[in-house]
Amino acid sequence: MPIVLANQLTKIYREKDAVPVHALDSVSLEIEPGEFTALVGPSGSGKTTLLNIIGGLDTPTEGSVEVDGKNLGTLNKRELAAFRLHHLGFVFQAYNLVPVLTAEENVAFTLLLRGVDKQKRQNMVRDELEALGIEKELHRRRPHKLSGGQQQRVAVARATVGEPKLILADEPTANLDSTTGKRLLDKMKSMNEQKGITFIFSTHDPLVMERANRIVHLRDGKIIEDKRP
Amino acid sequence: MILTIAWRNIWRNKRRSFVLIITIAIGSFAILGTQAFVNAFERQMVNGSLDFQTASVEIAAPGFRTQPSIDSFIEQGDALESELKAKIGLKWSPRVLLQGMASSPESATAAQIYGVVPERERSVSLIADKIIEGTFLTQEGQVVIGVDMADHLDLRLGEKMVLMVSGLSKDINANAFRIIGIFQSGYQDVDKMRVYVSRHDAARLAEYDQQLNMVAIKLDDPAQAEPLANQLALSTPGCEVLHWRQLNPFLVVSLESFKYNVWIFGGIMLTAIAFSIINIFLMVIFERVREIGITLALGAPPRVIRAMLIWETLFVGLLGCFVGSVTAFAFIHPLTTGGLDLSIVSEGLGRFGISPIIHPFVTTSDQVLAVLMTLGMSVLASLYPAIKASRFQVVDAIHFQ
Repeated sequence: MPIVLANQLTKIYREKDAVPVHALDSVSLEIEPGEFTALVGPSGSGKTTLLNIIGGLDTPTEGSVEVDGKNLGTLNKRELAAFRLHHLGFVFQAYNLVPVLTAEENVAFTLLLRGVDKQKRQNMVRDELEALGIEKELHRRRPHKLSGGQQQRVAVARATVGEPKLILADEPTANLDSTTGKRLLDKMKSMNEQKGITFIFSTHDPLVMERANRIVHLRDGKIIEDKRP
Repeated sequence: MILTIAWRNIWRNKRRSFVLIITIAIGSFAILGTQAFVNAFERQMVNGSLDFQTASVEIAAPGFRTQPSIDSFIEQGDALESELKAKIGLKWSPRVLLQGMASSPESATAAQIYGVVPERERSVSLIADKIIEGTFLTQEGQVVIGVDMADHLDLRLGEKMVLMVSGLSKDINANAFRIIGIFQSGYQDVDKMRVYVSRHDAARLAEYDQQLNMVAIKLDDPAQAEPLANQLALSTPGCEVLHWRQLNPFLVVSLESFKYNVWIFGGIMLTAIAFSIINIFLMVIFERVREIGITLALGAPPRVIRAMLIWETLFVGLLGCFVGSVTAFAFIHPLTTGGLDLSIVSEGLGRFGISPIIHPFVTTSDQVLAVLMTLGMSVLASLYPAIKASRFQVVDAIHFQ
């Protein structure tokens, strides 16, 4: 069973006194568990919109999407939040860590929301940060005292710590230098291989495409190519 | 962790938080300060009233309070006195109260003549302590008058004055008394109209034998007046027993009006605080749109966002209340012990039964109430920004620039 089943997704942005924008135009897509997929395409091609709809952050104008067997269109706001919390992980371009929390507190945040007990939470956070190569002395630093690469690794740890089935990453390497980006992608790739976590990237980065086992090319809101290198 | 985030968020913009804390502190200080003065005025009014105007409980002939006629008296005054003597520890004073005229060679004025037993009167009234010249009554033939009456009649200590009363027989009875003391209670009506003579002198003027017009009872705790009045009403049939709240309805209305004024003032202060909180927290959520969006995207339910902002407000409110309470304590405490001399406005205050030196104070319950009201209003004010933040569209919020 595919982990993502998008069926005829259309997203039209209508703003007052402006021409409607078709961000997605009847996009259908199936992602199998364990895939390391890159959504690529020029700006405005609909990558981020597709990622947002798969992540339950946005709703399609038409069509439906099932994630892990659940039709997201049937869930209300609260149920969607709970679904994201328990089934999905997100990595954003600008890291977006909570600035007043330390690295380990940022990673622990979603576990806390899930109700994981303190001792277990501490162990999971420590293991995840170490797995992503964050040295122990950095665990108690707040984001502004971490480099961009360190912050993004913490953000990845936050996404992966609960071992979700699917991680959605929106341009995760865009703000990183190539060495740091490469190191981060290697970590994500190894998580994909070792833990079977499915990754979907929205990206322009060739480094991601090099590691992806599936590349979906979008243009003008449509899939123009879907290949498994 | 929600509490941790809320607490640390306060210190992200120290200047803004400082402004909000000071705003709440000023509001809290103003509420406590006002309450302290109102408490002082209330206490002063009640104590003053009970020391100089009415007693805690008064036993009188039916209708005497409304129509203080010479014919309205307690027939068996001696029997009532015997009964009261049996109540160990009760402070009471029998009085013959007459409406009459006081005159000097220069002038004349209406007078309330208090015929008292000096030792007993000292136990229920502070008039003897307010003598500014001479002494209180020591024997018959003496009179103690108020300072305003002395001025009006142009009388000095040691001089003689005449008191005239229409007696039981309707004849005008008059007698000359030597002024043995002049008092200043601070209550204009008392200082201007009241004179004290011995009970026997007053009884002679009224042509009374053992009759009394009233027995005044003083209690240390004014709150006990009503139960005692109810109890005495049962044991003294044929008499009217009233407690101070019934005797001085103007005072009760004034006390109520003070309370309403505090509530109105407090309400205005709290509303001002509430608008400051709403304004500042709308700025706060505007600055954190993206952060709130990310938190929602990660799966935090909207109530977590609301809780974070409400806790942040609560912490700011607590800090504000703490600063306000400490400042209020530092301001009020010296006044509680040392008193505040308001003699510059004492003439006006006197009309309300307030002595010129007041001692503002706040009770623990005042402080708790002020804190709870301030915190309650803070939470209420934070609800609008908190609800607004929790309803952000995630996709818009995470891409907010």
